[in-house]
Amino acid sequence: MLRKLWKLLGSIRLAIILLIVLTVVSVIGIVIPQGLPEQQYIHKWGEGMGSVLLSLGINRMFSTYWFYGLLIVLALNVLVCSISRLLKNIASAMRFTFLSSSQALTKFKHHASFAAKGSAGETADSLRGFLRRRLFATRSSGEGEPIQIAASKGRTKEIGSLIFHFSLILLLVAGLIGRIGGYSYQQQLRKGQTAPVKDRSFLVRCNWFKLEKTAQGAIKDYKSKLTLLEPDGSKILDKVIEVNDPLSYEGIRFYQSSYGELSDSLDSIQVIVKGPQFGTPGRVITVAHNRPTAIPGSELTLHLTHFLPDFVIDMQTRQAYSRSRQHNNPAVKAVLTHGADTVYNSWVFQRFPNMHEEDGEYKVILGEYTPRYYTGIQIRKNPGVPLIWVGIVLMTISLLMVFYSRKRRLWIFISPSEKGGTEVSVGGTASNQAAFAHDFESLVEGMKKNVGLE
Amino acid sequence: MTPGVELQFFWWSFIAYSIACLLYVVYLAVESKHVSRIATVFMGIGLGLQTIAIVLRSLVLQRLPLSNMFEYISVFAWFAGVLYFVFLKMYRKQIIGAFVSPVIFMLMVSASLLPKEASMQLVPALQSYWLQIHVSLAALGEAAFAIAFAANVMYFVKAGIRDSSRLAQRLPDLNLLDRLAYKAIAVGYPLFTVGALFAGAIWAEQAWGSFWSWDPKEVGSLVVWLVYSAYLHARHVKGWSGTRAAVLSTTGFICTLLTFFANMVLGGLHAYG
Repeated sequence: MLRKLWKLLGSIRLAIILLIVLTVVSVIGIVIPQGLPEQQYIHKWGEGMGSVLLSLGINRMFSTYWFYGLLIVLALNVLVCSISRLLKNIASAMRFTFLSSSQALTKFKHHASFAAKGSAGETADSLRGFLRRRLFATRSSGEGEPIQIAASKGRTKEIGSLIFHFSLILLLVAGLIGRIGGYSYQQQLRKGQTAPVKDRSFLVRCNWFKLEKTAQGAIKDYKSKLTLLEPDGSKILDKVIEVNDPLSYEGIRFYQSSYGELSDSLDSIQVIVKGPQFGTPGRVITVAHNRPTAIPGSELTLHLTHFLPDFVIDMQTRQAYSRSRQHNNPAVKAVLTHGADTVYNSWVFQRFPNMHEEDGEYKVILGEYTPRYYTGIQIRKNPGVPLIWVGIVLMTISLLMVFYSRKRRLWIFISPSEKGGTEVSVGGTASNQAAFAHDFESLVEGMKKNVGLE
Repeated sequence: MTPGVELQFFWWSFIAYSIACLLYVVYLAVESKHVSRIATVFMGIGLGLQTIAIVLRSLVLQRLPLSNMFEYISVFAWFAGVLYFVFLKMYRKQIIGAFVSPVIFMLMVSASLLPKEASMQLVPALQSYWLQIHVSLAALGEAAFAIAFAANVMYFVKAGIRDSSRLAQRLPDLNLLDRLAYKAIAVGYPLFTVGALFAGAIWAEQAWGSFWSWDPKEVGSLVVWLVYSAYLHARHVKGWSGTRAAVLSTTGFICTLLTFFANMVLGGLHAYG
């Protein structure tokens, strides 16, 4: 039973089936959009088909248990294959086999023979030296003649293949570790706001957020200055983060992922205050939202208490609220005080500056304002990261080993010839026969130079 | 330099490639050394002009032009042209050009149909040196797959017509075509793995906070990788070669093209112009 399972997990057939299944599943995952609201699948695929899709989890296929199961079977398959096949390949690449007779050499596509001047023993010695200089490993057959030398080079390919498959398992395991032991969530922060970090005792504070635009209005960059704080409020470190430049601390990474306008608050607001003491044009001042500001050259204080980007009044409750986040009808609630007396208290509309034309002595006009942003920080913990790096580095190295190394083997027979001197026969084979032709020639030339008869 | 000059060079290279493609097709019908030589010269002129176009655009943008579909396909075609000359030098068979040049021509046609404005301001997610590493390696890997595809098509043609026909005799023999396709994949597969998948994942982790998000283009690239992985296993372990292997690697290239155009339809994180 166990033996059968081992054989099944170690079969190339299973590997090919898994590759096909993964391919098909991936194609389905491309064709059927992932992660939409569930109703959309029912709407698009109909009641029956839609609910089948949902119950199989095809709307979030790449995080279903069966998909994970598939990846785990793949990892096991690769593991067993590596142990049972690849190790064997390496072992056979390391083993030197000898040929039965020099007749076998003629069966190779590449073979040659030439006469050498020295004795069989001398010739064998200098050939071994030559091959070693050409990075071949050599073994010689025991006593007697003819002497046979088996040489091989390029076990790198087999070892590379083993490392490749091993690092593939590593990457799958690392992904799983990240899934199980990690988390990722979005945190919105306003300027000055502090938030706790999941699983950790330290806190994160946003000192500022900056949105930079080009002269044409395209977004150039957005960045936040974050400070990490101990629970007692002491600073650990701070960093300006932006897209492509996150902050890392104790296994947690903070990414600049988004930003947005706050709908209830503004950064700076330009207003014109009209009153008897300000003359006809009125007094232009820039104030902060929700901060009482003394108007220079007067006894008055202006306080903008509320902001609504899209002002509307609920007719039943008579409550003002914002219909949307769009700046369709921006309005601020302005309060002017003179000592303890409130001299003006009204909603002021940017689009309708003449709303309260006839009322009272004072008047406030809303000018330009700059919105206040929140920053969207993605906070992520992924304990699989070191393993992923190891996997990526190993796999890259192994690809070089597999695709850019050459495997070649040579056999040489050295026997005394009848005319005196020795007769050398060489035969060879390689993983790439066509490319080997040239190399084989140069090897034989080199041998002739070393030991050959002029 | 005024922007737009580099587009002139793009169009001229397009014309040169088109002439090369036309002459190679003529060469298929008429066995004439002159025709094939002139075709190869035009191919070289096209490649040279396109090199100028890419260099000029890099100067305008102050970075390699790899940030929208037009730029990508153009660089893809350029790499395919470079690899063609590499393989031409290795195998010395001009007739390969008759199958590679149509692929380059089709790529140039699709590039010419896409919006070509140079975006001077990259969105923040693309402001990274990984853009150049990830995209250029992926394009080079895919260009190698394109060469393999051309070799597959030659294989199918040669295997499909009578051995005695003139065309069959002029095409390289089946073993050589099979090896040529394998060679190209052996070049493309490591580049694609490292460039498209690894460099992409490393960059995604920096920019989006996750190595892998199952975005349509990511899954598409995974499919491409799985198909070529299957090809390599079938070849090395099961000893596949010839037609079966050619069918598998052709599937790989079709997946490459689909992946490549899919994000124009499906959107996702990789939807850039």
